[in-house]
Amino acid sequence: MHAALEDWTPRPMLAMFGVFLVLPAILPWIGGYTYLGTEVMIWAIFALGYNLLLGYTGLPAFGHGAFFGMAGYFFAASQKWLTGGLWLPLLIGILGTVACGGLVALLVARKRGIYFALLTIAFGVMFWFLVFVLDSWTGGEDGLTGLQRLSVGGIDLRGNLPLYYFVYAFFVAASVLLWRIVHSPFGQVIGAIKQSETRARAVGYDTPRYKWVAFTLSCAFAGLAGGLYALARFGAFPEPMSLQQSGNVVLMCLIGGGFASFYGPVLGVAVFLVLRDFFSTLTDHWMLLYGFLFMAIILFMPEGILGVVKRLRQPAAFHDTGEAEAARTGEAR
Amino acid sequence: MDENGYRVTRRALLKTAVGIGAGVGFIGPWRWARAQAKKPIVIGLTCDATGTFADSGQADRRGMILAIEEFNAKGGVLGRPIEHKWEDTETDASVAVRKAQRLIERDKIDFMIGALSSGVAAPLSELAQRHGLIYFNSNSSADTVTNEKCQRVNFVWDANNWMFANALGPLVVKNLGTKWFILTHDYVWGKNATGATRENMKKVGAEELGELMVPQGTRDFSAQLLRIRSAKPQVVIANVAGIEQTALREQAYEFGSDKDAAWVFPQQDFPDMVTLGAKKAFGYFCTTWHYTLNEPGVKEFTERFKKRWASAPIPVPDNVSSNGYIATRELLRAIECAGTTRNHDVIKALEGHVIKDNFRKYPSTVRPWDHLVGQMLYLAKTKKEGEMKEKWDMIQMIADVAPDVAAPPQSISKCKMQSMADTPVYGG
Amino acid sequence: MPDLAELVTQLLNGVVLGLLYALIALGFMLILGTMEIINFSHGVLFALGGYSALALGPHVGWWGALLLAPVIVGGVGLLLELGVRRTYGRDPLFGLLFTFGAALALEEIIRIVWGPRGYTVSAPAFVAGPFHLGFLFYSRYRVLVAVLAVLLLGLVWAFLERSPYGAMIKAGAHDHEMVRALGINLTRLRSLVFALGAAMAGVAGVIAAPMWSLKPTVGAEAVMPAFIVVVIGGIGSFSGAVIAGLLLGLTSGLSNLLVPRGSILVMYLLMTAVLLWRPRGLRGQKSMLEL
Repeated sequence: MHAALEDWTPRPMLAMFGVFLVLPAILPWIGGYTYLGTEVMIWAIFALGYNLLLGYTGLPAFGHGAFFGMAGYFFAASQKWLTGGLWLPLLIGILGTVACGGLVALLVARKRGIYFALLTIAFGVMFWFLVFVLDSWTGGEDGLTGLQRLSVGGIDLRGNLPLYYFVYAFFVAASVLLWRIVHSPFGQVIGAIKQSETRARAVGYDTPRYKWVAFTLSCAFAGLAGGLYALARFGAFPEPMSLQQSGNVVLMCLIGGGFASFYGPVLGVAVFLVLRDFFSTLTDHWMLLYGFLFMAIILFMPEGILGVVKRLRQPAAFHDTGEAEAARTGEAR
Repeated sequence: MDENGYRVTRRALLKTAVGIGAGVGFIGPWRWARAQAKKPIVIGLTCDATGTFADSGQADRRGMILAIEEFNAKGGVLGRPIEHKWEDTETDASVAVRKAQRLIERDKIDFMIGALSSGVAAPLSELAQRHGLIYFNSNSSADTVTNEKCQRVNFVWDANNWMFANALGPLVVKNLGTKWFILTHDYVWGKNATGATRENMKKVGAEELGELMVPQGTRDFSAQLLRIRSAKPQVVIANVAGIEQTALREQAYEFGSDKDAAWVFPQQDFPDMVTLGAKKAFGYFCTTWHYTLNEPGVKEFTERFKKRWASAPIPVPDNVSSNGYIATRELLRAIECAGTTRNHDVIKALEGHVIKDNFRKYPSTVRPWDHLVGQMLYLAKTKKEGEMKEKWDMIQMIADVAPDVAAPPQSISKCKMQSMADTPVYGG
Repeated sequence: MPDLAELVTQLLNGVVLGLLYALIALGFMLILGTMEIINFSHGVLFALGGYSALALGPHVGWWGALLLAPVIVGGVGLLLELGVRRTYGRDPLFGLLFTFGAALALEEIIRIVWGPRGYTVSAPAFVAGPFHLGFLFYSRYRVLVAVLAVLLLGLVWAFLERSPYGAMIKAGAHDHEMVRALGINLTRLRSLVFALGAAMAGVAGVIAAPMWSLKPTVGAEAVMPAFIVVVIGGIGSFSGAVIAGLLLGLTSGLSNLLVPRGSILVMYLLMTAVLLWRPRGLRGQKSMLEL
């Protein structure tokens, strides 16, 4: 029994769940607020799913914000016009996003590296434009508002605390699910693809198909997170779908150390959102700091916080595939 | 990720958590200490500093800050100092909602003022209503916030699309012609504005020769300009805003289209005119105010503004900053009048309130049924460079319309405001 | 219904726009092809070019700005490359993200220096206003834009095809180890390419400024067509970039005429269509960038 629990929720994960469980009590003491905690969890779901693609499969998808955003619209549209309620819209949010993600994945699964990145950027921006073109449905820049946070089992979700724990449940479920995915045979294959796609193909794997699955799965989690986000904000907006915002989830995974650890994205989300809050109170020109932060992380800490920590703890065991790759192609500097 | 990796990551996690906690930990005690001082009234300012309405957003904010500082110089309101906390809403609904949420939860604002874009005003007013937070739209001209999306806590201080269209209609028909061509900025605001235009055209007997959409992001207006040239209207009604309007004007000037017809831009904020310069800011428009008006209080207000904001990009007050100023000033007066910050009482003090010292010919009124501030409007045109006394003296008022004619009558209002009972109590 | 005058005008506009897109995209593609870096800051470099025109115009005139801006922006490019070079050979995401961060920071710097307001830049006096051609009238400035664009594209082509540096750049894109083995200073070459790409973006910015007017966000809007041109034209192909640029410009122009709503979306639809038909782009060559 104990062993089985370890398989599904290793100790660090339990610790993480514990931290988030009591976070609402701690937050006001450190200058935070409950809604921030909810946002962190929502983005963490998105980032964890996205890291499946980025950190585990090694695919630099850059326009993923589009999927996070469109989920909100699917959720909002179905709550407002199709089905009402809470659960069905969430489900439709996921399904709609998966459908779009699957279609895009068909077109990009055969690509990799920069070409892949370029295409995902283009499609991401395309969806963003679609939101404005279809503004009679989406409300364009006004967003699709007028949503309701209903009640679950008699508890009204309009309060910040009930919403927090509602999202918490999904956060726990998503983390566990993703952990299982990366530790499954499928997870092994995408890890192999990350190390060397050519080799994986040589061994006989139909790598485009695996890439397609990884992409679509990450869209499913984006779909869940996007739906929850629209619920939290009482509306779906195009903001997360813009090119600029799509970079956020990438930075989140990087800062935390998505290449080095499963938990990297969660840490990254927390750091990013707290920093964003903090920076914008410091100065009007926080974008400057933000841009420099981006560059600094890339230059000095591309393996992220957890990566650095790991390297300090066990330098011999740590294997920076980036540097190895660079040595191989002779581009060290 | 590796076999014994879990131990590392747990410690790492805890370490980093402690680090972050310590880092932001200082904020907690610092804020606690501040709270022990005489509790100030905090006003959240939701103004754009980036995005399409950045210049206007900042002008708006300058007006608000001036009003707050003047009150603080007199000892604040209800004996309490007034603080303001500004957030850049980036002309984006989603960002605005997120930041307003932060203002409410983290900064515990007592009131909120701002919004230029209709896209920002609407969701923020919905958010405000959910909390019971009083919100003043200082400069958005959306029709929806005083109709379908009206809220008990929301007050709208700028004229809206209906008003602009309605004031212009008869004046344009009389002075410029009845054959109109319409350009519509292809998003919610633009379509709203054209809807208002069309409704008004029926009343004044104008004929629509055609309409063309201007999609967002358009930089190339030759299609529209060519069509206008072949349609030969007397008047072009351009419901186009932001950078598209700038580009449209550039190209109209470049092609010589500015001479093809009388161009009317129902909505024209002064900061955008400054960007263009007199030659390219051609045409007629509707406005609520300019600092060159010869009305009581204008000169003194202008002097105070110039002194305070000498280094601002636009160091004179304009329609945007004066709205911000008056809105803020009236809010503070209403709090004073109600004797409390409790929202229900302040709302009651505001409804029906008449503002006499609004630097205009006719006083404005806060209408109780839709919370729109009924005010007068001017039809104006851009001065030629030779006529300008100084750089900012770009506007020539041609005619004006009194508030009771300019503002939409109650009979056509689609507003179904929540009752006080349905509005959560806030403040006090 | 659109008449002949409108159709011709839109086609002309499409050509002008397309040439400009090709110019912007070419700089982007040089960097992409040589160093495999997606230069996200390309758009903001374009904007910097425009703002340089604004700043320099009153002092040296528009023509002066046309000559100086590429130098200035190229210099900025050199600085950027100092940072970017640490990402060579690693996951392409790093180069992309670095330039993304740079784009954000640079855009904010523009905002700090010039403010968030918009500016208009006047076209040089001798080409201001329209000229008439029978039933048609067209903007003189746009003709100048087209001429300049063709000239610049020609210059770059000549540089790539006929000069020894050009050969090195093309070789460097193909096979860096061999280039090194031949004793060519790869580091200096790469700096040169980055600076060149940046300079091209800058000069395009100067040219476009009178047409499109300036705001800190114009960069973000210029970078996407560059991406699309490269995807459609194929990475590594000069002719591909020009053809794709023209195609994009014409499609956009025609769409402006017939379905104005979709004039931006149509670029993405075109991209999708080309990809389905020719996954490597119209003239792309097989490279390390795909299976």
